[in-house]
Amino acid sequence: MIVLRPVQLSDISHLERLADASGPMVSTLPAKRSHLLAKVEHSIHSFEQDVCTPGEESYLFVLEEILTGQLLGTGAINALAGNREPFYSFRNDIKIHSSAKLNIHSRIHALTLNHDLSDHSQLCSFYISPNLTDTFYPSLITLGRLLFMSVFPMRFANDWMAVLPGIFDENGRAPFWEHVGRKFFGIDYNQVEYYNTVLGKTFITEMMPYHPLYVTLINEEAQAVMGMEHSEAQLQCDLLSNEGFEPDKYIEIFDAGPILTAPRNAISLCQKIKSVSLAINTTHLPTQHYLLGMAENNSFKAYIVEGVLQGQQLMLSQQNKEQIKLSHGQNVFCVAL
Amino acid sequence: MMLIRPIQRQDKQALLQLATKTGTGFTSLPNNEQNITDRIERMIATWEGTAPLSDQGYLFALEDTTTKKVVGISGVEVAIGLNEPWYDFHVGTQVHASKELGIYRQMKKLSLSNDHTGHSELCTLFLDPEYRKNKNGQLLSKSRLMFIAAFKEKFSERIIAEMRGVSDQEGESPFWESLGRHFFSINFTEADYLTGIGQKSFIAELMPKHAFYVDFLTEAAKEVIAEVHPSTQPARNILESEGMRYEGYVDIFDAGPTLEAYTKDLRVVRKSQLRKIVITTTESLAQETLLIGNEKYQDFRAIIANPQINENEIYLTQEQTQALSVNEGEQIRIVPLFEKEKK
Repeated sequence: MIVLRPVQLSDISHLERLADASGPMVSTLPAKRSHLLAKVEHSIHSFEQDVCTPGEESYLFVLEEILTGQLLGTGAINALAGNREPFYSFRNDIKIHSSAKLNIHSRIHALTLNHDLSDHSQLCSFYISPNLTDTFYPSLITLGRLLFMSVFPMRFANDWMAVLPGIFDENGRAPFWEHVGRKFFGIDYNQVEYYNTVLGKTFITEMMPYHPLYVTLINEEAQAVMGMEHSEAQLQCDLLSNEGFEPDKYIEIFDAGPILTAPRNAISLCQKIKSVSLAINTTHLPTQHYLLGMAENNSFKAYIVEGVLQGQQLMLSQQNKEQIKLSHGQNVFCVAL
Repeated sequence: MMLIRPIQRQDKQALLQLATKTGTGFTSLPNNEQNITDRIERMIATWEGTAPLSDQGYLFALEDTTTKKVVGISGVEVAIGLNEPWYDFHVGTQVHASKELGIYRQMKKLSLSNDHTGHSELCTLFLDPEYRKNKNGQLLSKSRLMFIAAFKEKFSERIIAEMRGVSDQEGESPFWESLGRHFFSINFTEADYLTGIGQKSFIAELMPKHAFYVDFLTEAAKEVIAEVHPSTQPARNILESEGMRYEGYVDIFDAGPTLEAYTKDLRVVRKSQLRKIVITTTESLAQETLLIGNEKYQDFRAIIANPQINENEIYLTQEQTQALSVNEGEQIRIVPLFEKEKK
């Protein structure tokens, strides 16, 4: 049995290993112990707080194999993408350049540095052990977080988003960075990604272009990767897209990876949540997979279970029920997968 | 003798012929009959005092007095950008620096400007290739400055000159290819022609409104910013020797430099002096070549010669005074043709 649960202090060593394995794909999961520790403490504090409006909270979940205590994945949510500091992205605007006299009407794209998405809630730090990518568990990490966000609407903004890693190769060469960011910074992509994880955003304000960048003037190799996700982010992209997240006119500032956004109301999971009580399945009706979420004492756990939904009752096998330590009649949230 | 005089209506055919010889990048003399007729009329209206400030301009013809042929022209606009916007790119610097990262970088950027609005402009300099000798280019370019020196109050306190930028034999400009072409689908020769017939502001409507970083242009484009076409280098040298400087503005199409000065700082304006004419029959040449211009607004004339002078007088031949349309005893303006006499 695998659970998605809030991170604990005792997870640090395991987390460090995961952060190491995730590499540059997950820039919001720094492989440096002091930063990880700060992130864990911040998360614990965030869960403990009674929140009535989203602020500086950040919630870090881990995926744990209950039997062995092994950590298999991570997923986090920042209540606000830009709380104390702005969240920067490039907005791909269209400028109309028109001359009736010359019979010319052209649509010119320009990337503008902005912090429009600062007030969105941000899904981040998604990582799953490579051997689990073809299972239900990536869904558990992502849908589990969406369920948490739906169950605690006060803790989050009405608009949600996620940044997907853009295109870079095994040598850490990102075409967009080479032709855009490097002109301003003169450093490697890996380096700036590292700074971005461990430093505040001041350096972005200082170093990134104030003026819109005309897309047509950007090298074609870099233009070609704008809004393209890294092949390893495909799974995450699919999970979010299935829930109603869409790429809009925003891209990441260093590697031009897509930024997916969705208003809460557009997310399909939010429409399908049912509040049910648990029971033992004594029927022989065909079972189905459910995402099951349980909120108590400012904590939240999510599982994937097999069961039968009848009226307001979700019926699980005795074994399942014991594994997740739920008592008979306890209220939980469930979503059919 | 080579003589500078105001343009006249009967010069139209000569101008049309000159226009066929100019080639790409010479925007102010397009090979277009209506345009040339309008230009001549506008100049005559200026001299006659009927043109509004925004239309005022002067055009001078270089005439070979032996053949009566017009072999060159040069012009001055009085106040640019008053009818329609005058555009150029300002070449600026932006520093991106982060103490945290230990990075300091200077970025060059170009931004569209109308900073020269209302300035006077030296323009339309063209000399028939057969006459590019015997200091004719000097006479053609600098006689305008003599006119400005004589009639300073007619001009703005600032003066500019746009220098033709780099383009190849096919008329392709590396700067245009890297920038302008992305913003609309015509080639440089066409853009250049439209500019010449007064459509520049329509083109500018399509140009980038935001400042942009030079680093995003091709190497070939970066290299030609503020560089002149090789055939324009002599013209640039002349204007720079007269006190004009590149101050960080370039043309929006080919990135040719804009040279600038305060009118009062021009060498000819500062150094030219008046002398009383004495007619001499024995022409004895002095060493210094002088630019000599009369003080007549409507009938301005200028030549170069090596006459004897003293503190008050200048000794001119009958032929010279006739060409200059002056009589003995009148005042005439002189200045050394070069800041320092060439050896």
